[in-house]
Amino acid sequence: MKRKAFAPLVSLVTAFLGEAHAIAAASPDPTGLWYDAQESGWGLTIAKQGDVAFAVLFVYDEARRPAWYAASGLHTAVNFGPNPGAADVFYVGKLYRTSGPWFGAAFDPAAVTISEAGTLELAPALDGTLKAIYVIDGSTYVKTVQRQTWDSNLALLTGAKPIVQSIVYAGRAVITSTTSGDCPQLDFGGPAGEPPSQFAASTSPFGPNRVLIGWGTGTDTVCLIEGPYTQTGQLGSISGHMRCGPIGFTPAAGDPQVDITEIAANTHGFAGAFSYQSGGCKYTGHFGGVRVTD
Amino acid sequence: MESQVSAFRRTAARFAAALVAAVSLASNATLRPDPSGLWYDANESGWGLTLDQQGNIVFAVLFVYDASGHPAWYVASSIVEPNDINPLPPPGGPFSGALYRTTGPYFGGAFDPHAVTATQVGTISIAYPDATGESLGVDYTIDGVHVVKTVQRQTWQDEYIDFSGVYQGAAVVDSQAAACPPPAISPPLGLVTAFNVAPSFSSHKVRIGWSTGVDTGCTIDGTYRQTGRLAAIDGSLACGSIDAPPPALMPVTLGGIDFNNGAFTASFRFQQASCTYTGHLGGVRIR
Repeated sequence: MKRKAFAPLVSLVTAFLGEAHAIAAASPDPTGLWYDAQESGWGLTIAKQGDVAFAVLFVYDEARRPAWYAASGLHTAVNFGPNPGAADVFYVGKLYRTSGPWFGAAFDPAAVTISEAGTLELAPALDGTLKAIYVIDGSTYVKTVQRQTWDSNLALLTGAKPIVQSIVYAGRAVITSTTSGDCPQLDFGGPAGEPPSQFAASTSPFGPNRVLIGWGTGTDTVCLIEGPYTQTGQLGSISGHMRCGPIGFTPAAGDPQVDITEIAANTHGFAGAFSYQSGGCKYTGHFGGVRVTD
Repeated sequence: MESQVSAFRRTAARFAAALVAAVSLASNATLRPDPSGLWYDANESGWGLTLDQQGNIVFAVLFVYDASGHPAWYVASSIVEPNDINPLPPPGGPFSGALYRTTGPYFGGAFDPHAVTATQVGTISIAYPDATGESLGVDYTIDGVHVVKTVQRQTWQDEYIDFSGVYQGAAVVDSQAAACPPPAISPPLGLVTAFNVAPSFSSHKVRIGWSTGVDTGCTIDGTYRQTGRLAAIDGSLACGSIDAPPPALMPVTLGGIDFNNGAFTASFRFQQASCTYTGHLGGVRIR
């Protein structure tokens, strides 16, 4: 079979799309650049739209020349397990080898040849790594790759500004589930415990690469989330603690654990997955906002 | 009424008074909108370019063919705004960096990273030709061969349906001429806005509505377009009172709609009489 790489392949989406969709939405987006830190020099780039991922594997052939293989229609599939350590979904599809006109001349797409080289399966793991299983010309290869990180989006989130110049966001936390129906409503410090409609974010005065997110709850009373920011590929995460009360405190280890993960930030705002752990109750949802000040 | 965040800022100012506020010299040179994703020329399907931006650095891998027709890839691991100390670079580029050819061990054997060689073969520059960010100019040189291309974000699946919901966020005007009146899009008492985004399942029509006061509001009616991992809406904006005659329609474009983790952000541009307003909007989905 021949078909063109870098062309939409929506028609290959299968009938289980609807079921897979809901589950896929709960898993981290694999979009980005992946590599093996112990084997720097080759990589895998993944772009996901809806339930279909597009991957390009860039490696070297037997003559040590650069070579690339494309999988343009990786379908989302549900991991029915048991498969401890694996995420809920994985991606699977065919892997193609192409040849084509030299980059330095006029490019005739009709001269591109495409042949099926094998298959590619991408299995995200709960530890943030990704297992890539690819078959090329009948041989199977298994690699564990991680997101490649070369810079931080912390400055996008905070403007690299201290607390007195904090960036104001319009947005909030939205709790979508709790571990138990017996858990009380999560108190965000307002008169009725509701989440704030605006909050501020800045670099933390408590150390480098830390974030302080806060909102006023009354006269000289605030809620603060404070913790270190970590960049992993295109996504960031804050693992900290939250506390509300009169000014002059610092959220510390004894305060409830708050994690904001999978943070995607741009110049207009940010959003991430949110979790809050207090005793036996864990609240999960999402958190983010739109920048209203520079 | 003092907002929660104003109270926080006032409190924070007291809280931080004893702290030394170190002013960061970090550049704000981020390519906007975020170019991350897969790019190709729809008239030259078969080769492509992948870009990933983190902070101020864009990483590119160019997937092409060599003179023998073999697949070849080149990598640029640090594409940046050339004058990185400029605090206010043009958001749309150009960003430039060195382009490398690498060789290395066969994928079918043990991979020794020390056996990888990297040779600079030229440079690559990328820039948006216009503010929409839907196409990208790519200018690269490999071994003295100069190539100029215009590429588009590659789209293979529509995320239109995912967009519906009620969002809490804001619409913020970033730029308008000094002589222009305040735009009619914001509520008079603040910036916080709840957007209702209602796609039509029979087409790619979308209505985004929000209240601006008692019996007043705005609506954007437009057509949704997926552009790679982002989206755009072209349509018309109307603001007014429900008791008044239908208000005048203003042409509006939402671009760079970025939806993830139950939130979206977008840039906007609309025309109100002779005035052009640009800004951004978005919010967090609350239901």
